[in-house]
Amino acid sequence: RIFSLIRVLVGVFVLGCIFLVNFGQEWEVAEIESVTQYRAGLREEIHAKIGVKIGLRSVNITLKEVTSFNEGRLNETINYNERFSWNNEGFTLGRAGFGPFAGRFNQEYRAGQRKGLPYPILWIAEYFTIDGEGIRWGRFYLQAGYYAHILVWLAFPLWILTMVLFYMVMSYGAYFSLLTGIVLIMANILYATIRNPNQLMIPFEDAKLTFTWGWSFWLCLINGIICVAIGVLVLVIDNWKPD
Amino acid sequence: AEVPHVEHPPFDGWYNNWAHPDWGAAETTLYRRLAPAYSDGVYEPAGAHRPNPFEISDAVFSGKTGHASVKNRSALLVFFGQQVVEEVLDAQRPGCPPEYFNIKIPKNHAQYDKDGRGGREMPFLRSRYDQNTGYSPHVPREQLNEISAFLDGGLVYGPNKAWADALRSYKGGRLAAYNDNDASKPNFPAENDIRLPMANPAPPFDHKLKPIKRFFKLGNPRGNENPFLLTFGVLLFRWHNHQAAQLQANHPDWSDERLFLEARKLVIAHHQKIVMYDWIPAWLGTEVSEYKGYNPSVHPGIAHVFQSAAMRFGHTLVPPAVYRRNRNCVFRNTSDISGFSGHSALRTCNTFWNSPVSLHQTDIDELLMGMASQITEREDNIVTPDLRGDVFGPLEFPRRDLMAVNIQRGRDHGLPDYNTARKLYGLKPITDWTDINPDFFTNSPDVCGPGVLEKIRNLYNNSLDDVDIWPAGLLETTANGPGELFRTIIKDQFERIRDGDRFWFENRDNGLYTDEEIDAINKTTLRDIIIAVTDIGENDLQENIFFVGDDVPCKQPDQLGDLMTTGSIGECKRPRDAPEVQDGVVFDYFWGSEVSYALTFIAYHSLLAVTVLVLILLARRRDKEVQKKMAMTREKTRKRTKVPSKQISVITASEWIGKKQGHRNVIIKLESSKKHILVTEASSRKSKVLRTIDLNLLLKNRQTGVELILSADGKMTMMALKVPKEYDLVLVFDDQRDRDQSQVELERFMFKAGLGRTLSTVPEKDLLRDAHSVQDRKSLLTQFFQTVLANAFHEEESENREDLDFVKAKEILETELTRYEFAEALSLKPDSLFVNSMFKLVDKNENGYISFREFLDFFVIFSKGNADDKVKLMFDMYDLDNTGTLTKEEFRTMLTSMVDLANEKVEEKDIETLIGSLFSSAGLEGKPAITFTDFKKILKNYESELNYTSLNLAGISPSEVYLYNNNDCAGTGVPMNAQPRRENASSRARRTVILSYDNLDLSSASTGRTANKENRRLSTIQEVKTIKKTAPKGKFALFCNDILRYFVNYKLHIFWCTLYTLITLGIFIERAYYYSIEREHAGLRRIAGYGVTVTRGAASGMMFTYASLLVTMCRNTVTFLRETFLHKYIPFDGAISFHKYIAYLALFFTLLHIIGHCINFYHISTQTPGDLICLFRNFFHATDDLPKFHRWCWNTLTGVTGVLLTINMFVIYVFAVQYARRHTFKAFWFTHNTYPIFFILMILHGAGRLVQPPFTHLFILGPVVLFTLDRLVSINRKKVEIAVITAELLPSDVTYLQFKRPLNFEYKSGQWCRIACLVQGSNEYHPFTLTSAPHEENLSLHIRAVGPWTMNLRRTYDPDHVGEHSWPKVFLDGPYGEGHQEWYRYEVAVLVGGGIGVTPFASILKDIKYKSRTNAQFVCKKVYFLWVTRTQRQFEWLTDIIREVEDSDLVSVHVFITQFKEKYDIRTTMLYICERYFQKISERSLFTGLRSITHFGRPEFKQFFQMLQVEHPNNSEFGVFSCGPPPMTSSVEKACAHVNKTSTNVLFQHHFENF
Ligand SMILES: Cc1cc2nc3c(=O)[nH]c(=O)nc-3n(C[C@H](O)[C@H](O)[C@H](O)COP(=O)(O)OP(=O)(O)OC[C@H]3O[C@@H](n4cnc5c(N)ncnc54)[C@H](O)[C@@H]3O)c2cc1C
Ligand code: HEM
Ligand code: HEM
Repeated sequence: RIFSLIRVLVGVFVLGCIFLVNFGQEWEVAEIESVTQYRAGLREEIHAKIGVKIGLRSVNITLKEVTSFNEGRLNETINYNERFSWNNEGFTLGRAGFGPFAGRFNQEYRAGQRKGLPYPILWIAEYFTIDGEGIRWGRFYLQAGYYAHILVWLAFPLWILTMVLFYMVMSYGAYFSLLTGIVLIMANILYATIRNPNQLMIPFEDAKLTFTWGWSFWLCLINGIICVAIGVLVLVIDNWKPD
Repeated sequence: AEVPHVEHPPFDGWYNNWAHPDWGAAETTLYRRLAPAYSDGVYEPAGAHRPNPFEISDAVFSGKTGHASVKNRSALLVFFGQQVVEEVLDAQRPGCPPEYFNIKIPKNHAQYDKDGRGGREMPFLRSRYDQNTGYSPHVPREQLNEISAFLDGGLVYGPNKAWADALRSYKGGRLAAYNDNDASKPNFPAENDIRLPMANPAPPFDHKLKPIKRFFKLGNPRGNENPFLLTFGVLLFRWHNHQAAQLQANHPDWSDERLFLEARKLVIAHHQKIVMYDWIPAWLGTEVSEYKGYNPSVHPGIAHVFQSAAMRFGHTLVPPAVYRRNRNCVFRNTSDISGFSGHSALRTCNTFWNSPVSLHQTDIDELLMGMASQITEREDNIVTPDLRGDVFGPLEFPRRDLMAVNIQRGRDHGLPDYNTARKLYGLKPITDWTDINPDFFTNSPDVCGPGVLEKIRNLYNNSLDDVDIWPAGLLETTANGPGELFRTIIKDQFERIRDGDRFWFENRDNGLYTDEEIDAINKTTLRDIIIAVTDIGENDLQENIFFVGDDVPCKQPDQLGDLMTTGSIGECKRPRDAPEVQDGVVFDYFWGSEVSYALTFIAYHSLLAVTVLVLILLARRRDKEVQKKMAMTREKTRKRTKVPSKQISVITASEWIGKKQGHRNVIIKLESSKKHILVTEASSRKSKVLRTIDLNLLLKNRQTGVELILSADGKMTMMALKVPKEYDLVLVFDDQRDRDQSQVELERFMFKAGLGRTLSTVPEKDLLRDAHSVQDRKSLLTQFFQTVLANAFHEEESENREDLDFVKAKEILETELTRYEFAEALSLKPDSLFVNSMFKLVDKNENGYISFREFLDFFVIFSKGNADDKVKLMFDMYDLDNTGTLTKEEFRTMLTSMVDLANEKVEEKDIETLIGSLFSSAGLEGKPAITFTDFKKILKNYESELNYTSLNLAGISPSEVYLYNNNDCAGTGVPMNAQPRRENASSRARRTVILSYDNLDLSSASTGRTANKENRRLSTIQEVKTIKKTAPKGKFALFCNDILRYFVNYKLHIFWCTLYTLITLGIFIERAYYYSIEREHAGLRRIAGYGVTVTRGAASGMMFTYASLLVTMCRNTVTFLRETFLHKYIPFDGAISFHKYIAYLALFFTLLHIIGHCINFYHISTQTPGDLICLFRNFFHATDDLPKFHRWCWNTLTGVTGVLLTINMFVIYVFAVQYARRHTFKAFWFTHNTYPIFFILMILHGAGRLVQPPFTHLFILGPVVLFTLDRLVSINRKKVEIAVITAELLPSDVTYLQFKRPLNFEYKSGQWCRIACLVQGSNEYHPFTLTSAPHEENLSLHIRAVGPWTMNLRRTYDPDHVGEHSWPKVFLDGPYGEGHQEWYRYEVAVLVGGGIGVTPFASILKDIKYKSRTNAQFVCKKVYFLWVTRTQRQFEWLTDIIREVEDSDLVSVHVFITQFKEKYDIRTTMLYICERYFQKISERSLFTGLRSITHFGRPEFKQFFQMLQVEHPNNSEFGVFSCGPPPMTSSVEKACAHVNKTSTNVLFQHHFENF
């Protein structure tokens, strides 16, 4: 009984993780606190927390004022969280520029410009819209996200099959668990290798946004390793005393 | 003092204007100052009727260079001007998709068509535009400006913030410099090692794409175009760092960011001031208006006419070369990497896109001083060849004519004509050509070149209505500078840029600059900047560096250009010798792809060949293995087989049966006593006699002996024994020793038998070729019988006879049958008495063979002769001693032989009784022998019937044939069409039958019929009307008939196949249409034309077909569905055939796709890199990289997976052919199971997104899910291996399998199960009906070999193959099915079995018998079993079962043979001929041994059912169960429906199953 409870729990846990990983926004993250220009028509700079979270499908940019520099003058809450995504049909880049045939990200960026988002947000998003020669962060994050999302999605049915198979033929279940794990780890590997030759770094007055792996990335890796471990374990047990 | 923060101007121009945040911003449309003149009002280029740009170029802009600027404008002014353009405007990028608006090169063009070939074009790509525009006339196409229109330092800092970030060093607010880490290096901007996306065309002088890293990292993406322009880029870069350093000195506490922004603020202001107040006046010859403050309602946007025409005024001033000098007035001669040394200056056209090189040589100082000293080209209409003919271009056209481009650009942007432009700018239109430039045309016409006015006038047909702005506008040029129109446009533009800029340095409201700063800015000149950031001193430059005034410290040595008197400036270089360049003009983009292209396809082909080869090798190897195994079994048999007696010697060998059939292990027994050679099966279990060679025959026919042929080569292991009139016995021995031994054995045997032998040796090949194999013999015999039949039946209808050629006919005539062959043809045992007697009878000349003639005679009597003839024939048959009388003994033999035929064992005393009763009924008691007359007496009552039989055999009116055996039915009132006389005849016959065979087996004692029995007989319907059809006459009609039959049988299959094909075609056409029509102007379609249409269409077709392949293989689903009502409409059993059909459809699309892509990839490999970037958005390649074929094919996901897919596909298909499945099933299974890889590759293939967003998964997902679930069901099924108890190869390719019944395997009769054979893959289940009855201990199946699986199965269970091992195990799944097992619920059940569809009834019949014996409460009273078959031959095994049940009262069996008479085999014919006759005597069929009646024709179900009603008047529910091909079940269905409709209270419930 306990064994089957554990089985169900692990199964659901891994499945949940696959979903979290797939839609998790933090494959790569960067956060700084800095003084920065805020918007047009304003001389004062603000002191803000600026964060960027890159998921498989989009970039989230947050801007939050820390200490109100200009208390009294600016009666404004500065707490933005803007998302720019590229998961249009097939994660295609679209034509250069910002027109109707451009990629979704560029179009959302242009919409942001029209909306008049604060400078820091636009400046950061702008980094992902440039696509040429060595400056193709948007393209690479899109590609990485694209391939990783395919693999993570693939892991989902594979894991379901794994769970089903564990009830049928243990060794098949183990193989599929291994496969799920490998697919998840492949997602990590691809995500980590498909990148612009120049590391993305976005400077602000006091600090540079430098990117590190976020929890989504690690969770995916750990999840993958768990799956592989389960697979290996079951295979070993199955070989020792098959019953 | 604390300097307050300010609002810094944005990098991209956004939010400059509060009302219109995007005014002047980067990536917004140009400003449509003039009404557009697109020829269609929307987007088609303007000026469709204007002259060819090249002709205009030649007419207006040609002329010698070397005229000095009249106003002594300096070269520095000109290149500063170019730099100003780059600050406000960048609209050079071509649109995506590329729109070629090529310019036709006139024939014999001096530069581009030197060979006069004609038909050449200069490529011209239309500009990029806002794709929200250009759809309809109110918003015509608007081109985009990629950078902000403002003078906001874009040159220095880049078009956006990210770019600026990339330029910074993050130290002291400075921009990153080349010498940041190495002070010894010159103070240049850092190299572009992070590869900022700057413009990077191939330098035309050496025609090679070069890495973008070589450039300096500048704000201006095109800043590296030429060294003179780059000079200003470097200058301003230094100026920024200079400012930053100063600021840092003054404000050490400022952060890097602050320093950067403050320095930038100042640089922008200085630049604004210099451009607006220093450069423009010098450029235009007039001052700009005074600044009146920021005006938010002014649009700063760049006007089209400014971009496409006015601002290009600078082109005329560009000098063909530029001086460099040092501070000591030494003008440097060139010696640069281009290898042109010794020229007085840097030739402009040779510096394009190689700028950093020139700067590294000299720093910017020498260039600045050189430009300041150099008087530039004259303000006129003449343009230097460096631009007019030698400006850079794409690889395929490296040197373009910029003037033609300018004109074309104006048309591209929809510029109106010259006069309209004038009007719209408030100038008065020109009416007289000379008024364009009265100064030139009237005062000094030579200035603008001879006859320019004439030329342009002629070009435009003397009409001023539709003149391009560029030539006419430039012709206005005067010494002062641009003419009226251009001046107005330029002035207007810059004033708008200034007035509409909130951050303009003079706008005090923006708070950017303090008053002191503005004053300082206003004092700063370009000269100051130069002096501040270079080593150039105050004295090295004149005061106003935009003009070469008298105060110039160093005068230029000469005016550079054609008119130079000292030195030269060199030539514009073209790399004529590079292999990829032809004519110095055309570039072959395919260059470098040829090898990989060819190699790839060669590799493809060889792979295919290799795959086929591997297949063949594998097949060979397996065949060898089989042979080895056979040899091993032979070895074992040899050891085991004991020689029974001295008389018999034994040879073991493998017999070669035929080319296709291969070998089988045999044991040859030489029985010297009987003089027989017996060929028997060499199996451990049985030793069936395969063939007997009777040497007595040879002796009888005075043959001297046999022929022995030995193989003379190879391993010398072959021996052929040629026996006259028989097929050859070809033996293969294990080795030569073995053969020799056997030969001796054989010879000894021959000798003993009194026969000789001739011996010859031939090569193995010849031996096999000349051997008359079993197969040869068989086909000969078939023809033999057919010819006999044709002759006997259709002597008159000669056209129906096969037209035999002479040789063949002769061969047949000479053919003689042995007794064994004769027996086999009749499917009777060769040693049965009947065969013996018959054979003797037919063999008139008693030579032991039946010749053609003899057989024909026999047949003619049977088919044509009168009753007497036939009775005589029969009499003779059993008159063994030819005495003319039949002794009682002989008569007994006759009877036993018939019993024998029926495969019944009869007690001796029964026969006695029978004979007694027979004799007594004919009044012959006590007679020891009967004469022919007596015999006739016994049979006399059959006379009419015998005659009648012959009537029918003539085939005159087959439709009138009704076969009765019980006339009592006439009394039941069933309508009958038979003629009364015949009825009488038969009734008489019936009544007078003395000998009733059933007396024997029903009650041993009784001699007559019991009343009881009579009643049963009476109540049993034994006649069924049949529908007969004759085969159509003539080959064609026969063919049509076959086709028709095929259609009827497979109409559902055909329907679904057609539907499926149509859907697939629809999918193909949808995509094809999309790419042909809807995407005509986009994407790959532009490059590859209809190639894309085909490949994309095919791709979709493939996706669909490959996805459906999976669906057909959802075996559990299919099994499940065939149980549902859907089975009526969808022939699920055809799943595998459908799979194959789809596979071939898929193959078709795949080949289309692959071949299409071979062509497409060629096209792609020939594209310009620029187009590729646009067309393949998801495929990146650097600007210095020309993707070759191998890049596309081997370095893209789509390409690689495509290649892999193709290989995978080759393998799958090659190994899926019939040959492979037959010979190496394992290889087929192994390769076929790579399909998961195939599908993964397929998904990845689309995931490359080369052409369109992937949608493979949309097709694949559903089928994959279904397939996976289906597969899970299979996996979940507990697999138990079941031991096979016996397996038997029955005749007619039926394999009988009996295996253990698993525990708790409960089934009902008529159900079926699925089995998989371990040897053939444990996943491949095939359905078979259980032929065992539920009460039996074991399960059994009868499996007919029809296709690969069943044939393999047969081979698997072939004793030869199994050898000593135990039978391979099977997997069992089931039972399935329902319906038929309900038969016992009805009082009267009708079972109709067609073809293989009788199998369920085997079980049911057994069950009936069992139940009727054991089960008391059993509703069923009567079962009618109708067996409809084309020929009984294939179902001999069933007759055994039928015979078992026949005797119970319960079952009445009718057999229908539906084959056309013309197609009867000999057995059926004999059945047809003899049954009527012999059955009277034996009450049983001679050939089947069944009592049931054999009918010839199709059953007429309607009448049969009506009769049933009559027969069972109290029964209201009849169960009808049919199983067989759809046409049969459907006619049963129809009959039931009809009967149900026409009669009340009666219900015929029909259940059926098709297969
Ligand atoms: C309910 C049922 C009961 C059957 N009972 C018997 C029986 O008792 N004795 C017997 O000899 N045959 C029986 N058959 C037919 C038998 O299943 C096929 O002849 C056999 O599967 C042929 O396989 P193959 O690969 O050798 O031939 P193929 O050349 O592949 O096929 C020959 C024909 O058999 C059909 N067929 C092939 N594979 C299957 C399959 N897996 N399921 C259904 N149809 C298939 C094909 O559509 C084709 O028409 C039965 C079929 C069904 C549906
Ligand atoms: C690339 C194309 C093909 C794909 C993707 C494909 C896929 C499949 C799949 C998934 C199965 C089921 C395998 C299993 O049960 O484990 C199968 C079986 C089979 N395929 Fe294909 N197939 C292809 C081409 C072909 C071709 C060309 C043929 C022959 C003409 C063929 C003949 C068969 C047969 C005969 C079987 C099953 C064996 C049987 O049940 O008789 N297939 N195929
Ligand atoms: C068996 C072999 C092949 C199969 C099954 C196959 C299948 C497909 C399929 C299904 C698509 C559509 C993908 C989608 O848009 O979702 C496609 C597209 C394409 N195929 Fe193939 N292909 C094969 C071979 C090849 C080969 C040999 C090449 C050339 C190297 C090739 C080049 C392409 C290209 C360029 C596309 C367009 C890709 C895109 O839409 O982004 N294919 N192919």
